[in-house]
Amino acid sequence: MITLALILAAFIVMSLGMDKHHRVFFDGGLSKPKRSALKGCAWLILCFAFVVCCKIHGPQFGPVWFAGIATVAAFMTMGLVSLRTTISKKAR
Amino acid sequence: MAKVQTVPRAEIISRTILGVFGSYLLASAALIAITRLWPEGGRTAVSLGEMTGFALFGLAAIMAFSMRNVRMAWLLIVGGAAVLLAIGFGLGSAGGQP
Amino acid sequence: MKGGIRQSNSWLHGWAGLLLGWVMFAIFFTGTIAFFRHEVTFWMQPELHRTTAVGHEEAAKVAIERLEAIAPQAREWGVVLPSERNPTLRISWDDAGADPDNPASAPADRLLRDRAEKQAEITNARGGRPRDPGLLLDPATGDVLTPRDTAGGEFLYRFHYRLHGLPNELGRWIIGLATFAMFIAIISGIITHKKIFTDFFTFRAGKGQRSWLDGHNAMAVLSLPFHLMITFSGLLLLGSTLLPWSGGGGHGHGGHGRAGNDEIVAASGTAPEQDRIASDRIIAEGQSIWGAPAGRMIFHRVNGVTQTVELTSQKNDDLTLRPGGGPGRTITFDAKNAEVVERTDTEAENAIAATDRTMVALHLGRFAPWQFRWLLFVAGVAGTLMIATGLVLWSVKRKEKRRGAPGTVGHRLVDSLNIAAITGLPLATAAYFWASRIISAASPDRANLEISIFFAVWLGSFIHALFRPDGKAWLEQLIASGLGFASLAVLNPLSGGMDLVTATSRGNWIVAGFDLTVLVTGAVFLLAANLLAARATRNSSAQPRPSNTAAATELAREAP
Repeated sequence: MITLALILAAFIVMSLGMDKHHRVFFDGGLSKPKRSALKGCAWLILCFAFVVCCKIHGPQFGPVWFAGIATVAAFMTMGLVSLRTTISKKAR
Repeated sequence: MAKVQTVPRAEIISRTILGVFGSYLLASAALIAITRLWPEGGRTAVSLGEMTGFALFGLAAIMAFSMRNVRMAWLLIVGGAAVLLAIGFGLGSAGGQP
Repeated sequence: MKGGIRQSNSWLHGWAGLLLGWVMFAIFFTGTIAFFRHEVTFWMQPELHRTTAVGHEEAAKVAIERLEAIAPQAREWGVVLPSERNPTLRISWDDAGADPDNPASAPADRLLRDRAEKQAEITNARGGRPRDPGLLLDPATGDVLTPRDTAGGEFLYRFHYRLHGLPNELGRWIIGLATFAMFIAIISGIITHKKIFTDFFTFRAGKGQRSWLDGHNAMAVLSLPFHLMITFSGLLLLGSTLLPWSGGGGHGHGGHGRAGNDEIVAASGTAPEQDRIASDRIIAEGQSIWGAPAGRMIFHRVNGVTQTVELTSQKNDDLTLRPGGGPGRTITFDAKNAEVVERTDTEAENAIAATDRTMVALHLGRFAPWQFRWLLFVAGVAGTLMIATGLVLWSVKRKEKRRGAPGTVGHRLVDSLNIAAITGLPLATAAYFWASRIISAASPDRANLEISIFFAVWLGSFIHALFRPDGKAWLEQLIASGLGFASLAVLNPLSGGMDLVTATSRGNWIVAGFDLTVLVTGAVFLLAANLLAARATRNSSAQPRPSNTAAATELAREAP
């Protein structure tokens, strides 16, 4: 659960760091330093999540769980992000 | 597909044969070479051989369709398989097999 | 195919994906269900729904008592203890060499034994690993359970790796070819759609071909680790078939229990077995050594007296243990004083074997606790949808290119095959589950009848798809599948199963989980049908077009 929350957070930050997605959330593009800051931040959270996951499930099952949870988190992120797209479209 | 017309049919056939049979040949050659060369042989050698073989299969299949020069692709894949087989039969003496 | 690595890979991706795409879809679909094959079998046998698991020690006592009554002279007894995946208690015996008309058995027990032996013959004739004759018991009461004969989830599992009704090697080869194609399709897909990594979480609904592509990409990329793992390990599992040059040095599967230890001097006695065998201490000792639950016991016996007990863990707690042929930890105990005679852990000897085993273990998922099993299931669903969207994409692309012109015979065939695979197979599966409840429990050869119904419905869906216009065929089959799945949850309590509310309140998550899953699956199919129908009407009123292409392109616009 903790891992899921962490990875989800990481992916959302990561999506904010991607130009196209960023535009959906905020008007206007994304400056280079801001993008790298967001992406860096996302990777940091991901790494942290990996360590936490390995602590919880042990060195052997940790990575396996991590990959599994990351998959689910990615689908959730996709749902959230594309949901935002439709909402923002309707708002306009 | 519409794009097909831009490449001669013969080349597509050649690449397909290479991609399917050439890759399989390479994978088999890798397995044979590894099982013959591995000192104790047995299960470990088979595992390693299969893993390497399948990885090479993927690589070769992509190469067969991606490389600009068809002849070069043929040379690399079939040649690679021949070299592996030669090494396997030359240096390995059915070493590990139980 | 023309110059450029991306184009040629796109070409390769399209054709490698299409040619064996239907087989791949079937493999993924049945394989995904197979992660829950024991649960599926359990659901298909409503006679078992009301059993409740008890502690291992208690269950072992019940089993020993029964076995002594039924097969006192057997040289080997087997017991499968209740687990979270199956709360029943299975006992089995190997009677080789024993006097068949043992006077020690009561007539009722002898009747049970004969029936079990006949049943074992039928089951073993269906294939799979041969099993000793056995019985299922309610572990709480010790009553003999008589579930209906069914191939259950085992059928879908076996279909997943060797199809059905074909010689073993041929079936494996077809699956293997599809796996090769899948492997290539994945690699070339990554090369083709390199951009997917930059708009990672994109899904644009309602944009025709674009949406299908987004859906396809999302399903592929977001669970890419799973796809790579499952495909590569799939190749490894079929390794000895696909690359038969290793001199028969088989791989992965096929472990079986050791024969009895002959060196031990035969103990003897007249006390009943349940007093003689220290089963409580054996189980407790084994579980404390492993730190993991016990799963099976094998009693090695001489002259009707158990000498040693082989205890096996319930499931692997380590990815490098032998992944197939039963859990990889075994301890042999002296039956009387629970002393450890021998301990075997099938750990991998080196890094190569460990890598191989980890892959295979992940593929089979036998180690998985239920939470992880669901993750595998979800990833499997993603893979199934990836193939489905890929297949549809292939025909949508050509349809948009044709702009409403009727397709060639080839296109038509592809469309029909798509329908028969994507909606026909789920429909056939729903019919298979229905069959398990409709066919009378006592009817002879019912397991094969269930399988025949599965194939009949599947074939029917293909014929239906050939003769109905595209859009109608999709719609009708989606509705049929949706109703077929959703109604299973209603059918279940009506045909002797435990209803969803009771199952949930009693914590019977095998039955409840199955019912909830079919409800969700049914709802998704009906939702898809609804979207498709809505699109079709909106469009036909806006601009009349030949209905078949219109509806099919409409389907193309919908989210998967």
